[in-house]
Amino acid sequence: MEIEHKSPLLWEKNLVNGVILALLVALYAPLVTYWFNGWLNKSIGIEHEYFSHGIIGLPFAVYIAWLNRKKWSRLENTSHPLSLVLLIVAGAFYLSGVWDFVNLSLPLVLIAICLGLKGINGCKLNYFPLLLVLLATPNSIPYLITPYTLPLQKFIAGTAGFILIQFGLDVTVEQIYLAVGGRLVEVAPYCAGLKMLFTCLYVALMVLYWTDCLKSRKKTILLLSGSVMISTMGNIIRNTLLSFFHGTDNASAFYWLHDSWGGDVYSALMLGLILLLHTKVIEKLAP
Amino acid sequence: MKFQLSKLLLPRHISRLIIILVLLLLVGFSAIPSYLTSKWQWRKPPLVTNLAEIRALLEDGLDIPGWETSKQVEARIGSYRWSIQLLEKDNHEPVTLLLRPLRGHEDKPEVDWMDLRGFEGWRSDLERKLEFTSDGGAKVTANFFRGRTRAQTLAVLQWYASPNSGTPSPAVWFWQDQWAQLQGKRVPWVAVCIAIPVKPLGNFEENLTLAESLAKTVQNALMATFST
Repeated sequence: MEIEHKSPLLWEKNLVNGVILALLVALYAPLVTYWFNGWLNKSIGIEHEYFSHGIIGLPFAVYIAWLNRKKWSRLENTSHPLSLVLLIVAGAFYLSGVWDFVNLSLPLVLIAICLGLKGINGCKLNYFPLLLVLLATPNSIPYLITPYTLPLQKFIAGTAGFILIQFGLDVTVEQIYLAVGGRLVEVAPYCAGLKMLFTCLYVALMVLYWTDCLKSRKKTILLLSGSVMISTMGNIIRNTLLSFFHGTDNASAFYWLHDSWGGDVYSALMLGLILLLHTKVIEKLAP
Repeated sequence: MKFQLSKLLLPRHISRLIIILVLLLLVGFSAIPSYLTSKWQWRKPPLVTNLAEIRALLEDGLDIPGWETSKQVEARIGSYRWSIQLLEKDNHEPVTLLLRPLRGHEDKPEVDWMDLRGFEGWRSDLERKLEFTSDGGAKVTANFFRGRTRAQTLAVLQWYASPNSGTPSPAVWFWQDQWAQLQGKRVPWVAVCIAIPVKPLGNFEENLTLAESLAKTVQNALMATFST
């Protein structure tokens, strides 16, 4: 009797979830595929690459949501009025057809669904996957902040110049320009290291979540600020090397680090350092 | 079967119904037509209608009524190509007009003012914003400052000219363009820089009249280019 009573309910619940999931896939599969294509082939644009941490972040978000599925079904079915508002905004964004807005509609629709099916508790349960999706959603913020990275560019140019002078090179620094042996290198806004900074912070967040350290404010702050330091120092060293290669006319080494897989190796090294910082130091601290 | 349709309409179920309905509408009205034509609007923003005419500024420069162009070249500054033009009138020292028309439909204004500063080697002071309205009714805000090199002192004006306005800020342009995209249009732009040689020790404000009238003329000439 009990089985007979339960199964239609389960069937109904799965049907509803399945339909919502299928509709989401129909709406967003082409968009997300396009994102991944752009990240893997660097084919969309430099701003898009600022969000390439989505390559690991989005699958991780799906995985966490999947792990949460039992807790999710145990939550009481209730809905929050904000759900409807978000759903309408997301729908309008989707229909607009304008890149930034269509992209932003994905996290909005996901939040709206959590709120609509399980209320605030649904959002709380899945706050981390939602955050991962939101932070990996490509938008134009990297473009809009480029005019404000100037102080950072000057700082990097100045520090790189200082380091090169220690090695006895003939360097002059003018604003964001480094003249190494008479050849000019510009520390462009996209060399300011914000992309790597974003990636480092994102990966640090994932590590903190995975090792259950997000609850400890001390560990969170330590790892996040450690990541900021690692990525800033890493970027200064990278710009120093680039100026050195350029100034000493070593075009192939410059190309390797600037445009080829050297950059990826360098990024991987920085992420490795963050992992090391976490496992060897921060995780062992008292909460 | 205990499953009843009426149960779906209980208040606590209504929200799932709404979610499914909204998603269905989106799939029906937007996704399915896109799948069928394999055209996704977000992949390609609307096009700038007369890109070729605007790009022609690079080769031809811009005719400025009342001024004679004594020289015009296309040159690379930073990562972009600019038109550099010398304007002459009466016995005034030649004024330099630099123009960078957008490179393509997806090109956005970026760090052009920084590029110019690096290229020209200006040290600047007396920086402020200059606001004026062109004869065509476009409200323009421009950067206005005194630029010095070893050889020259200049009054410099910089802004991104668009069909109905002008602003020195990439962000202001960006939001105008987003708004236009929502209506299926675009906001084309040309980076403009005017450098007027001035007396090194004179009262800088005296140059304002000439700067403003020239800026208005340039904005007007560009508006004619945009609407061809």
